[in-house]
Amino acid sequence: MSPILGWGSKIYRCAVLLAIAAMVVHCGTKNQAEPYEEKTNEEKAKQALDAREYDDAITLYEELIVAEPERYDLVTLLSSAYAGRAGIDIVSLLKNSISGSSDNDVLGQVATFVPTEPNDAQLRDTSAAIARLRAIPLAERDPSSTKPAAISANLQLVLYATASAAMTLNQVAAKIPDTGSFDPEKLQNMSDAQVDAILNSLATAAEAGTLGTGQAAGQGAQDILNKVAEQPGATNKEKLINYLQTQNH
Amino acid sequence: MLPFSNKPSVGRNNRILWLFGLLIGICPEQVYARKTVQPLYEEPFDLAAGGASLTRASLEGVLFANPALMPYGGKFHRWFGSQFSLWGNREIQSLLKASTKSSEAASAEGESSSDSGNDVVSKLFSTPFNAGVATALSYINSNFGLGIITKVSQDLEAKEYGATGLPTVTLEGEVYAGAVMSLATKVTRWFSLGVTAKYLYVSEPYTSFDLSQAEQISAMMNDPNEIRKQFEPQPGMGADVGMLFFFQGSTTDFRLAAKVDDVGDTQFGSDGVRFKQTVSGGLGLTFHGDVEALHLAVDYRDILNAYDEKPFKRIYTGAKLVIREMIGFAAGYYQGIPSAGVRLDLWLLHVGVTAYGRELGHYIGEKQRNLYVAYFGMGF
Repeated sequence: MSPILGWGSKIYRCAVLLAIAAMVVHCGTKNQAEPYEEKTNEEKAKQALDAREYDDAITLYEELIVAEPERYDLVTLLSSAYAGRAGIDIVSLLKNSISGSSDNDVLGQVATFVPTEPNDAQLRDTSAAIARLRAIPLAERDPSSTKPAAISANLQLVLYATASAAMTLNQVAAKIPDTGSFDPEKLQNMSDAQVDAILNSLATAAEAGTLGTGQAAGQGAQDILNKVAEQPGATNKEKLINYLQTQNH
Repeated sequence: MLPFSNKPSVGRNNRILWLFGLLIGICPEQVYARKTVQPLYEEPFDLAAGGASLTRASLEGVLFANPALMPYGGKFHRWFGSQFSLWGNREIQSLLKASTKSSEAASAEGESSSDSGNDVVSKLFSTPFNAGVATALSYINSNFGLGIITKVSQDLEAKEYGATGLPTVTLEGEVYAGAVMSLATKVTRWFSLGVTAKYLYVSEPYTSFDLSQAEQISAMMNDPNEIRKQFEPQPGMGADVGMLFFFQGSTTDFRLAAKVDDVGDTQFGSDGVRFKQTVSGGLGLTFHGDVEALHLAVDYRDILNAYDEKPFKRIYTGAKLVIREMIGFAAGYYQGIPSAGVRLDLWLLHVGVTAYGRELGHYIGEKQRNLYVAYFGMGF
């Protein structure tokens, strides 16, 4: 006689149904094969980046680039990881179509999407992102080459360089909440190194913008540099402060 | 009535074997299919059982899973009817709400369509969109099957970090339509062979924008014609060959299946999608009594790894419990992701729901979609 006929069959069916229900409820939607999957380092790096685990992503991408230095797509991903760790909101930056044509200059537009009181580590990460992108040969960064990494690299360079200028400014001089303008006293405390950092970042953005992608933001950066140069003052610091005081950020 | 039950076969062995081969010529290297190792069409109850269908499949699913299944089932007439299924990912409701609210707000406040498009894009970063619909009309008996299917699905996702580090919106689609015809026979009492010839229209569009192309994204999302152009399908012909070893006992059956999909590759259009030839194998075990049957099965698809995919994407395993051929429960692991479903057969009408997951990416978690499928059909 079949062991699953009669009352034994009913108990057996119930047991199977309960086992199936328990299995499904327990497992949910998690892929049960994950412990057994062998991910490549590149996949691990991308997964870490997507999960915003920037420390892990940076470590893995650095290792991958050492092994394959001409994989410039990895360099752009590494730069994204640095920028993410620096607190730059790349999604909002791009969604808001940063350009020099609004009432605010690009610094004012970008300032909304970067940390308002960045620390030194965040500024270092931004500088690292920019340095990595600048190290890509110009031919590999030329958007006309149609390589996806080229377009991304150049656009990221424009955005991160502008962001770096905005973050340095945010670190130097907090804005007065009522007016939205920079605190004049704190502007005076800017060091020459900080002034140079801001102007060099804007120059990097302007230079990268001439290649094509990020042209509007790059042009906006160039406009600021031109207006700063026109300001009265004996030093770059005086000119920059005079310019900032004419803007409502 | 649930067909393909595991009651002992009482039909006469049919020794006439018609070999029906439709092969296409070898074509230059083209775009590889995105569907990879999954059958072109999967019956929703089979999906609930983890997609393991080489050794047992439901209704029109047989024609796509393994035509050698047809001769086993106890009677000559197996199925004539139609089925309609609709699916969406579990988060789709919140995304549709956000889209509706954005459109209403844009109309009320006079925002541009670009702004409302941006709001939906924002929601896409946390909530991908995946939905589709499929229909099937089929006739199946012990030796012959004919099916007509259509299947359209669309996946839309935004990622903060795309392939090169910029935020990216990606639209993927699958459009399959066409007819399949299967022939099968028992070579011996425990071995059957089957072949399926298929004529299909296939399109698998893929479009990816980074957020610097905001105008392009808005234009795409506000103009359905733009999206329709991407889905224009191309025709192609191909064939599958399947075999089944079926060792039947009084209460326990054992099945071993093998199948070659897309013999010689199947090319769609001169520069369209190409389905690669794959070899798959499956094992099945059935415990059955007078009124119920428990099927356990595991498939390993694309044994030779023609699509170069990881093992987790090629393993499908699950169980089906069928009671009185009226109600069925199924559960399993589809590509390692839990699946489950229930189906009710009420003479001419059947209805069911299935919950399962599918990995659209190359590694676990890259692009997992958790889907609900609702389906109903009529037939006998």
